Amino acid sequence: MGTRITQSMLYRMSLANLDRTRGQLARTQEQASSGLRINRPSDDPLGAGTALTLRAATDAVEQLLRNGSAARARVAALDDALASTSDLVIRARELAVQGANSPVGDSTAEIAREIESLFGALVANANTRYGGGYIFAGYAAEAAPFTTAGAFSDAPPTAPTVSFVGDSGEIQVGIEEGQTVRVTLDGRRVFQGDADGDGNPDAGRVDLFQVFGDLRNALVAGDETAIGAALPELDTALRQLGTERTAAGGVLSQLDAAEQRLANQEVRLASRLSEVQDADLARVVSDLVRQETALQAGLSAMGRLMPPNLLDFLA
Amino acid sequence: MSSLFGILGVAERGMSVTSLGIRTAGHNIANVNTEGFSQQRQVTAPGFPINTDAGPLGTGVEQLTIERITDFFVQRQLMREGSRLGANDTQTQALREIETILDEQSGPGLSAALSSFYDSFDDLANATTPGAPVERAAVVTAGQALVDQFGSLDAQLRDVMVGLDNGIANAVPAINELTARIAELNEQIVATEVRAPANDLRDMRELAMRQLSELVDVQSYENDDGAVAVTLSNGAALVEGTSAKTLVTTGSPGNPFNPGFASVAVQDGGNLFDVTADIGSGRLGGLLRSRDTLVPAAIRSLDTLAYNLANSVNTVHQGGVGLDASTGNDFFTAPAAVEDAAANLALDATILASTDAIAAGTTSQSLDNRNAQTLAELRGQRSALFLPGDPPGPASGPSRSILEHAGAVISDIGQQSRTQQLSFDQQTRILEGLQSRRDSVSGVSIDEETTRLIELQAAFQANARVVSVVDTLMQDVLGLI
Repeated sequence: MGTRITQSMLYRMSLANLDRTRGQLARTQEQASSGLRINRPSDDPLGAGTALTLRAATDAVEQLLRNGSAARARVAALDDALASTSDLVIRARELAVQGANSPVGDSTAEIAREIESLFGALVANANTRYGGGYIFAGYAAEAAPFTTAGAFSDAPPTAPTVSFVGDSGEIQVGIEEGQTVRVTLDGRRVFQGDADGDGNPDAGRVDLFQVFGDLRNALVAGDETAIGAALPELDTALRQLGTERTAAGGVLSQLDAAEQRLANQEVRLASRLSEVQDADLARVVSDLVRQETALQAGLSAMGRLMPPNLLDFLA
Repeated sequence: MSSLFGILGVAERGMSVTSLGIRTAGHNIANVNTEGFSQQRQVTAPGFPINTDAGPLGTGVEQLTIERITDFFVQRQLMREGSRLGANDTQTQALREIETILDEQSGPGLSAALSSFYDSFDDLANATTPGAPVERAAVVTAGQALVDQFGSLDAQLRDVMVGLDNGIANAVPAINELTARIAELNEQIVATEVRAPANDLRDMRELAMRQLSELVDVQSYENDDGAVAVTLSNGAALVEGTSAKTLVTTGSPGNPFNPGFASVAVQDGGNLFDVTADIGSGRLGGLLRSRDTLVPAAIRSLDTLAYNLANSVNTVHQGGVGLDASTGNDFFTAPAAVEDAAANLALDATILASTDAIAAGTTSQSLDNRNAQTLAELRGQRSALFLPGDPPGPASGPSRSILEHAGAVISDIGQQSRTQQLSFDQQTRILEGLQSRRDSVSGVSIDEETTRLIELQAAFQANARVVSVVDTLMQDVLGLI
């Protein structure tokens, strides 16, 4: 027996097909309007999970870039302070040379006054602030790390003493996954040449405050030997600052490299994310046209359902 | 002479049987769109012959019965697959709701809140102002946003459960109505079928049975007297002969989410027999499974996330030192168990009382950022996960970072929802196929009925012609007198 085609069958089948076409069309329209291939996790569970992971990774990269720029600003502040300190030392060296070649008297006293102001600038540099904290203070950043005691006096020639009240805390900032850079320098090492914290300059290093104070005292006292002795000390001070500047420069180039890598990574993540979740618009549009046509065909078929039956042919 | 009158009788019976046929065709046409209606066919047979000298002589047509054309097997399958579709439908909807709640394809969600939370620790580590008051406040804000996100997702999922529970409570009266109707139809069918098949009543009962099986999976068999017995799949009787038992809902004291949730029981006199566990299919089965398995699983996934997040953050946080020199503080209130961790997630009171308690450093020095950094690094750190029911001690779950875990939760729900949708689509097609088969066998074809009408019209006219021929003959005979 062949299949009987009954009225209810025709209606039911047409309706079911129309429903299906409409459902497909709705999904395609959703893709077209959102531009996304995945509009809910069930559209592509694996893709949805991947998209989430990629978005989290993108966010992490953005945060690392933000860390990097924060680190850059802090290291730049360090570098500025070191550069300006180097300038002070160079100026002091010029003055020392000048003092060594001048007849003792008014001119050396005048030079001594300038060294005194350089000394003040040196202390100010050592107490450089950035963003509310002191950059050479370690973790104890709320108070100036270098405090001076005493004052300049001429008879006998004495200079103020500077002592370090910060700590040796190193602030690290994460700039890439698993990689951090130091954005602080130990003030004691930079300005007092004392990396091991024993209160005295280490071998090959000098206490800048001491050197400036001694130079000033030598100038006041007109002690040419002592003035001459300041020159190699100042050279050591310059090298000492240079080493620290090189380290800071190293950090900056490390930051550049990290930033470059992160930027590349961000681009890769973005293109991967787009691959995973974005709709292929050309395809969506062609699907849309195809499904709309199908729907129209279905509707017009539905309109003409009730195919001619026998009644139409009976008078 | 008597034979002439006999012919008149044959023709008269022919006309009456034919008009009954027309009436049957009319009944079919009238019910062309009636749901559950099966086409009816007139069954006729030649009249019992009488013996004559010439041999057996026909006595015309006899109306035997009007039968209903159905396929018992298709009917059975329609019930079974209808049950499955009902369950599929409710489960698909529940999973859709769950995935919509957890979804963040279209906007920020849990992962975004987690990311911001870790970002805030990074920013705290980057702080240049001693004590970082702004960054500390931002950590609290991000932490609170995360807590709120967990709380809101948990509450929304629990709302879905409440909605499903209402669905269960509403399905039960609908089931009772149908079983009562089946019992009533049983009574009418038994009474009718003493004389003749109760075609239309049987159609109505089949429809009611199909509607019932869409709500709950039932077994049925027909007794000799024509009444059907309906039982739940565990054998508990719902309809016996002309009486129906009612289902009732009671509380579920053991439900970990809400003891007020409905359990389903059969009421037998004063006794209640809990059948909740035996309802496996139909809308009711789907609702029960959604309420008691699917949504709880999603909530527990969220709990796992919250529990592991709170513990990993707390462990690192406890090892650090606050600006106020306090140590050993929790960041989140320590969760007691994985269960309900999402609902109970909260910032610790010490953190809420003072942002200085946030352990950014390993010392209380104002720019010590070492612990904040470690906290920020938790973002990518994998560790074994505690799962619901895990006793304190080593975690038994897979090793994942919290963010990966969040991705896996979403992906998992999506997968379930997709599988369920595919199965629903497939089930819909199966049912469509079965319905087409039923329509093909039992549906009314207008063409067929029209042809019948023409056929019957011709037959009626021919029978009438027999009468007029007999009449002429009689006139002739009478003329002889």
